[in-house]
Amino acid sequence: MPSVLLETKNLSFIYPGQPESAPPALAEIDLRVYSGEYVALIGANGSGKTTLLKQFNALLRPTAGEVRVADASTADEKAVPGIRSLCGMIFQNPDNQIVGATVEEDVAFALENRAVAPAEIRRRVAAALALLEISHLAGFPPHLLSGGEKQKVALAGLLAAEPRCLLMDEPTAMLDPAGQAVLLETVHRLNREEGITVIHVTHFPEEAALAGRVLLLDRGRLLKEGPPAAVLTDILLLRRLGLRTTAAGELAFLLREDGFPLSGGILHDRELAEQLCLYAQKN
Amino acid sequence: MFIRTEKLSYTYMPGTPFAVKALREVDLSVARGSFTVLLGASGSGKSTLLQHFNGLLRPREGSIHIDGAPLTYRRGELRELRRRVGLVFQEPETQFFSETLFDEIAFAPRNFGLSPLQVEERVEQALHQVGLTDPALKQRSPFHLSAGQQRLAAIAAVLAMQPRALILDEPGAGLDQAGQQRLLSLLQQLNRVAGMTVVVVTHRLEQIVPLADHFLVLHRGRLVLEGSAGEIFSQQKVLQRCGLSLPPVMRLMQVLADAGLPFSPAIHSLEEARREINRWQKKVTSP
Amino acid sequence: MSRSITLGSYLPGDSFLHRADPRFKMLLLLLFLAVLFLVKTFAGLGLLLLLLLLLMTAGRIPLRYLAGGLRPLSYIVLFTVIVYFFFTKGGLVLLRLGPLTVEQAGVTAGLFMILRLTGLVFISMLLTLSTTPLALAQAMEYFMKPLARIGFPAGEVAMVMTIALRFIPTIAEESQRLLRAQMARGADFEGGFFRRARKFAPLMVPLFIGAFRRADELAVAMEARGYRIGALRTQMREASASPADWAALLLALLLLAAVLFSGI
Repeated sequence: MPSVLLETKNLSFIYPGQPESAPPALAEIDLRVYSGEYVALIGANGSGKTTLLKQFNALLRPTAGEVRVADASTADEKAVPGIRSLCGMIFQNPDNQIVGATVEEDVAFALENRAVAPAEIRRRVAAALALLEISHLAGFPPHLLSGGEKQKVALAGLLAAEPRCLLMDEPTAMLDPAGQAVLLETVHRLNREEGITVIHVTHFPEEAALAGRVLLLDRGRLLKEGPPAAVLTDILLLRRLGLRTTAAGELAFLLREDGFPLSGGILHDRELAEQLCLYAQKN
Repeated sequence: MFIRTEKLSYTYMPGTPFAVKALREVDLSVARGSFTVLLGASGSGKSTLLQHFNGLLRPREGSIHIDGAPLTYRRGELRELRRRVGLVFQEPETQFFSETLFDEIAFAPRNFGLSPLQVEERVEQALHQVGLTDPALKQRSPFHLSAGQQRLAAIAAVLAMQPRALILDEPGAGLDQAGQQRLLSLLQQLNRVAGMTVVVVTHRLEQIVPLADHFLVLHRGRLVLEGSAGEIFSQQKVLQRCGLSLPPVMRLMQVLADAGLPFSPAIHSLEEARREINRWQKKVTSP
Repeated sequence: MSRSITLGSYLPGDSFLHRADPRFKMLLLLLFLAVLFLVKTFAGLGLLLLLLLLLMTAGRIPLRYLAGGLRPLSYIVLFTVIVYFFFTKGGLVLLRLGPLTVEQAGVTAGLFMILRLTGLVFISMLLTLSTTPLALAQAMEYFMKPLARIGFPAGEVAMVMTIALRFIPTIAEESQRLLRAQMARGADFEGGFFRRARKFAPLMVPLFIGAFRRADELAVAMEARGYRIGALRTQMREASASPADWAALLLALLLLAAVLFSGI
């Protein structure tokens, strides 16, 4: 049984200055994320995805309830530096998270903040750049990079700090298809091979379908959770929230509406193909 | 033809070690009243090309014809061009600067020297076109609208010039499903009902493919493909080389075709796929 | 997006000028400037300019880049020339314009000043063309370090400089984008752009809002990556001086002494 890495207990959060009448940004969330999991976090704009993500990095602290990261509470000021080196966070806009004036400077940033020795910083920076195959960009200023390259730099900056968990806030939203594909492959590889836990906020059902578990938020509440085949196939619920599922999932739903005998849980293109082939053989 | 380019080339910072050839001898045309999608990975030259369409950039070589006449880049002509070809930049709501939504939309008509009465009329029409019809909105700050409303308002700010063509750079970026849906139906309506020429630059193809009748693919400053959805998306290898991918429905149909099922990979809308599969089902089950 | 104003003045390269320790380059710049303003004869000035030319060739920096640096200063040069030509008196009268005269001493002094200014611009540009802004910022941090003992936040100031350098190209690109976007909405910035202040609003308001949003997001990202004000930090690259750097410094000191004592 893998160990619990992140845990929320009855977590509620209200933004300071938020009007009394408005619903809380997060309400009574109970959640456990195990070491090595890949979790997708979905929901409409304003459902609290980013707010929840920031709780795991102690960028925001609960108004009520508790958030624990590797058994330390985010409310404990002394534990915060440790929590932040354990849980690295990558943001939507790659431009506004790069601090360094060159790529390697930026990748070194978190290590410099922890006063790691220069020689050790150089070793870890080189390793992180090599892991993401961007060693050739080491001396580049960030404004000459493409969006995909910038996101890789941001990711390298997290990996250099050797975290156990990656928190990603719509990391592909501003990338082109090639950039999206490379970033997703990289993160899934890190999850698979290095055992890094991933929490991935996304509004692309194709991305959520690749996760091990999907959490669905609605107006600050955890509405539904489970494997993609359970959450992303609840099309009526998704539609009510203004969300979509994958093309295969949508089509399977439409066909079932027309009376086509398909079994449930179809999300991936291959699954639909298999069932249609099976149907053709039977008839 | 509404837009036609001939051997259009553009280089940033020519004559320096930083020179970047952004466009190389691009020959393309966009028909009047068409809905064109311009595809290309980042760095392919899309944004550079767009800015040529309304005279913000001037070709280093080659020429552009808009609405039948070549651009000569005289000042008065440029202003008229920018009125006729409305350009909506990426995340256009980040250009907002006015205290009220009314003033924001009125910016362009006022720039063109219309009378207060005409300005008011234009604002009304533009807001009506994008569906922001609640009269209370006009006196609200544009910064306090929802993300989806802001995007629509930014488009209205361009529509207020009553352009003949609307060119949009990644109009759906950052919007949620509901926002995307509203945006797409707006574009469809502008194109089909108002007869406006629409050009959309995007690489998120999920829902836009069924709306468009013409596709252009740029790669490293060159036009590599041009044609209908069927013509473009049958060239999977080329698209892949250009850093592009098939829209999800087409990817699905491709997988079905690869599995030996008799469906065309050119099917690009869920409704069409549904019809085809139902038809196939009847054929399979009928004795 | 345009790249025209985003590259600063650094010219990438791998010459000995590029490799030299930026702290030494800064010191040498100061020494050279001292010599430049102490030298009194055309011969001495000529020698200095010759030295500059040699450095430039060795650093593989094309002359047109240096010449480009003179252009923005042309008004200052012109003004200096006029002041010297008309107001330094002595020697033959070369030109008479009503009550004003241009005399030989004025022309000599004017030409001398032009050469001096040229030297000043060239040597400064040699530094910025061969050194990345980041290396310059770090060198400045090094020189500010002693101030940390009296409570001056040297580390934080250096961080601010680094971030400023990092974001100058981004903000420049953004202002270009905004300018174009508002032009696409019929704004006419051509001609009297600076004359009519109200035309600034469509550019400055979104630019400031954007910059503040950026700053906000950047602050969150920095916090998320463990940055804390006042905390002890290390640096990946600590500048290290080579024997060549020391040799250059020694030569420069000798040169200064020679100028001081020989009176050229």
